[in-house]
Amino acid sequence: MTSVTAAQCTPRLLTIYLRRATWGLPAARRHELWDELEEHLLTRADHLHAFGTAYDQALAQAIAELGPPAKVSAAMTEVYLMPKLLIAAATCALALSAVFVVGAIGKTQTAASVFCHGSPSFCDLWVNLDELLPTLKAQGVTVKNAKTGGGYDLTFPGTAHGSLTLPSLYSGQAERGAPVSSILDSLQNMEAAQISGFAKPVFKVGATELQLVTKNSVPVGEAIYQMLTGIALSDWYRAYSQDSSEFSFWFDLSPFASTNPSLFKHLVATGQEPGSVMLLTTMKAAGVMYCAIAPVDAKGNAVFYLPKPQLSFVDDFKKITPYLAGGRSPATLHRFTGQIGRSASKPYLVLVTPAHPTSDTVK
Amino acid sequence: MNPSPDLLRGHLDLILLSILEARPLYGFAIIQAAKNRTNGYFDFREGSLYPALHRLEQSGVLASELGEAGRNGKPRKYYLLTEHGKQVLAAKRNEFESFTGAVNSLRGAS
Repeated sequence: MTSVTAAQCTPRLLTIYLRRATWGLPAARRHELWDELEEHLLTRADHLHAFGTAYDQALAQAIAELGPPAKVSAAMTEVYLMPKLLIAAATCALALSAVFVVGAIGKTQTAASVFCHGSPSFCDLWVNLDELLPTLKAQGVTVKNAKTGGGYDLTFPGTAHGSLTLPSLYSGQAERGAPVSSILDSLQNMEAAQISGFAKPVFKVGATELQLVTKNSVPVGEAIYQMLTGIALSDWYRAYSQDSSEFSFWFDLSPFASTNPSLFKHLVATGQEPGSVMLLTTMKAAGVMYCAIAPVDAKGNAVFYLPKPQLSFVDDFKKITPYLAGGRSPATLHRFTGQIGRSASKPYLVLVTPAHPTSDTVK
Repeated sequence: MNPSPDLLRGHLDLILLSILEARPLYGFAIIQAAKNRTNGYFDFREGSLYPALHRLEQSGVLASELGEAGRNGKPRKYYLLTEHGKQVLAAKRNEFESFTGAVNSLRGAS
């Protein structure tokens, strides 16, 4: 038997889990927790491997035992970031957690169901593989068992470099599932990968389209755009920040933000096409970026809930500070381009100039 | 039979402080110690351990120090009780014993 030690093997699955579990924490805390969880998972995997479990399976089991990564990051966020009012909001949200939702077939796209673990305000979305894989096969996607990791290799028709490996993990329920965050992570390697829509988002790779739907209140599109924002902000931070110790980002999903008494409603005239998906960022506190995501309505407006009552739009991420300028908090408005795959020429977000340079909270 | 998740969550601080009373330990070793010293009764299955450890550290009940390199080649983070932590543990023990004593005194009561 070939012996595989943890030091030799740092699988992609582990990276995906650790990235999600430490998501949103200040950089110093993120590194500390990353090391701690990585050590835990590798040690546990080695124990299981020593008792005869194949290493890939051992690592998957170790990850399963530690639980959904969103639950870890939500709990850590409570420790380091979450003000009491937001704790109360998240606790209310927990009442709606662990919802299993059933997919429906759309007219033009095939659908796969999505389910959610943990608090929806820190939603960790999962797709049921027993629904996803047949749906993809029906569209001509080739599905093969991956050589390592216990997942699947998918090859998409109509793309030059159209293959990715999809992990197969526990779902916390009885179903085989794949976290949407890991699908997004894999799709980043495919330049052709795109997303469109908000309430019922559609992933597109070449000729293949997959619509994700829910029948409950979990805003699946918003949660996916949150993940994309996390990737984009992390990229931005790595590229531009001089300070590695203090930066994190914060989201509240809109169903919970809209009832949070500490947040202010803003109606922003975006000047963008109806159906576009927008990101508004401002600084919640020193080192903590607050992000709100909303679709553009038929009149070109988008509704955001933010911790600041008065905003002044700036033309650069780097100009966002926690300090008021003329009594207003600096903010930036961005449009999602729909790009998921990493591309030097196609960013995830583009900065846009709203119709008005400022915004005041509305009732 | 293992304790219910609610029961485990409700007494997590007391369990962790009791384990760390004997000597400093790192996360995985804490889980192993909990399992071994209770014959598998306490079997942490969720990622609740690390947030709890960080919370206790933030509140000054625990301190941490770096130890030998772990399986990822980075120093293991050992948690230890502070003086304040020892006082908190004593208080939590008293509280727990009072509670279980009161529950026991209700047994057989009509």
